[in-house]
Amino acid sequence: MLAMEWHGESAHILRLAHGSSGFRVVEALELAGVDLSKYLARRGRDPLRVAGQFPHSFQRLLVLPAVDAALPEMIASEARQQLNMPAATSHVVLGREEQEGEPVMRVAAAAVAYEDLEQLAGALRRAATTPRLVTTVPHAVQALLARLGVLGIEPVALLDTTPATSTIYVFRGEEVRVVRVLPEAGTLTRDVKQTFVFHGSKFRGEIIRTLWVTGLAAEGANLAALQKELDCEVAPLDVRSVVTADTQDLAGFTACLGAAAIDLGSFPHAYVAPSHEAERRTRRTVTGMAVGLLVTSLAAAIPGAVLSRQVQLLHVRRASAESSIQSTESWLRQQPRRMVAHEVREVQPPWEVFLRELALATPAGATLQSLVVRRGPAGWEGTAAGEIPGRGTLEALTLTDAMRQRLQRSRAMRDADVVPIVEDAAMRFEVRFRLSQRGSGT
Amino acid sequence: MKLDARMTLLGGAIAAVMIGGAHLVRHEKLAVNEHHAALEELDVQLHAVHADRARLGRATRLEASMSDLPRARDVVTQRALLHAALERLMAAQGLRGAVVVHEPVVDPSFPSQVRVEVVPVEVGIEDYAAYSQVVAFMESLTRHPFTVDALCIGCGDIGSSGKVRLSLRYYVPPA
Repeated sequence: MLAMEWHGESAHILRLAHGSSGFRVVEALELAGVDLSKYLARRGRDPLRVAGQFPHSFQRLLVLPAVDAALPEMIASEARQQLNMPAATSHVVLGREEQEGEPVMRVAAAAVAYEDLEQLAGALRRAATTPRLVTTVPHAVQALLARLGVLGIEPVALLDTTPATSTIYVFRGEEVRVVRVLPEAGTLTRDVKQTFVFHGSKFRGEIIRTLWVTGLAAEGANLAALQKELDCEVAPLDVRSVVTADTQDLAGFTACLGAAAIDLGSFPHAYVAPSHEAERRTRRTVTGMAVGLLVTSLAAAIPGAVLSRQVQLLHVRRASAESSIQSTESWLRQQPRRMVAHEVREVQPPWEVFLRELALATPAGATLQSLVVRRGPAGWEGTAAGEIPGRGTLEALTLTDAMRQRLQRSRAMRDADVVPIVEDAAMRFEVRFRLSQRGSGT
Repeated sequence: MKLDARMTLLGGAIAAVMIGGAHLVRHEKLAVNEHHAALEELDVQLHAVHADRARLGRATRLEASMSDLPRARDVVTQRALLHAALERLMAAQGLRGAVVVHEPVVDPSFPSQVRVEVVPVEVGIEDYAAYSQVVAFMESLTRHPFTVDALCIGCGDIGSSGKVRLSLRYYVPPA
């Protein structure tokens, strides 16, 4: 992880690794300009947290009407008044109470001008990196104290001294009460004392009982001098429960440590530059579109693949059927004699059987006079005509009935019928029948 | 590549995949339908040729027993031979009659893969002493490549003259 305290032109950077208890400092650097960009670009894969010293920002305790829905707008309005420019805001509701009969909320509000955030975003964009977290230096320092467990209902102060500058912070719980850059090292004790007096006057005489010191002022002699003048407990801030550093001098890296100590899931004072926000939205859209492309591709590819497989199988079936037809046709082409033999011997009626059965079925006393058999679309069918001379009608009918019964038992004929025709001079009859084919088995 | 460019590219890719996918699916569906239609047609053909094959499978022994009449390449000679052969068959049963041999034609009732020529023939038997002569003559026809299209005894339904009239079909035996 990279934790950076950004000052506009330069930055303090801590490269941290997860150790057995908290973080372990891998390297601590102070970089500026091109070196900073190159370093960030080189370490682009490491998650980056930034605590910025933004010139247009504020942290303030506000007492606002207890209207939750309007809270962001009220804070934004306050930020516009304070900074005179559009800003990203954050807040924590500290409590609710009544003032003059009206419900109000005590809110720890903060804001950073979009302009400052864009300046940071531009610098990071040049290094082709995107931060996981951007917050202010006071909030990072506050997070470090919270992680160390020194924040509570009593106000506490932290004096952070570096060779270049010293800053004093006063916190009470979630509130950032005072952030003051002290003018010069020679008047440090006096400036700290003035800050305590200012705090006491602003917050109804609340007394700061502990001053935590980091950096150069944390050396023994300085601590003793401070304690003597301030009439409060003065102690060096021990960060070993958060980070271990073997030989590194961590003076000037307090905000970096604070940024590293922040729990991203519950931290309320993270800011995003509008261009980063737009980029995030675009990135989300691009991701959504990529997913959409994948889904669309699958939606097209799966049915396409199923149909292609079906086409392949059908093609195989078709080729198989065509091959089977071709081979059978090829075989048939070589069998004309067999076809003719089949036509002649199987398809034809058994003529000799038919002619004999017709003759045998004709009763004595009856005479067949004509016979016609033709091959039609439904097979062979025919008629025969004859007469029964010199017999009475009853006898003639008996004979035709006997003939019908014989024909109906015929092997060669089917659907046979005998129709008697009574005429004045003689009794006539007509036979109608169909012929079975030799190969039909009848 | 910038995000906007990526977005444009992805949008274009989605559109291209949608259009291409729809085209692919439509194309494959058409191919499936075409194959189904072709297969239905092929199934009918397959059924027909298999039926022909099964039918012919039963004719193996008949083929061996069928004796051909003399044949010639020349059509006129072939007609003369057929004429003579039929007169000989009638004479064998003690029958006499007239034989009319027509021009050969291709029989359309055979499968398209097989070209079989038939010669329409009309026979008119003048008279017969016994009905059994006619029965024997009809039986002798079936030992040769003849089929009977029409038989008429004692009537004038067929063009040839005589008491027994026959309309025959002679199958020119394939080589």
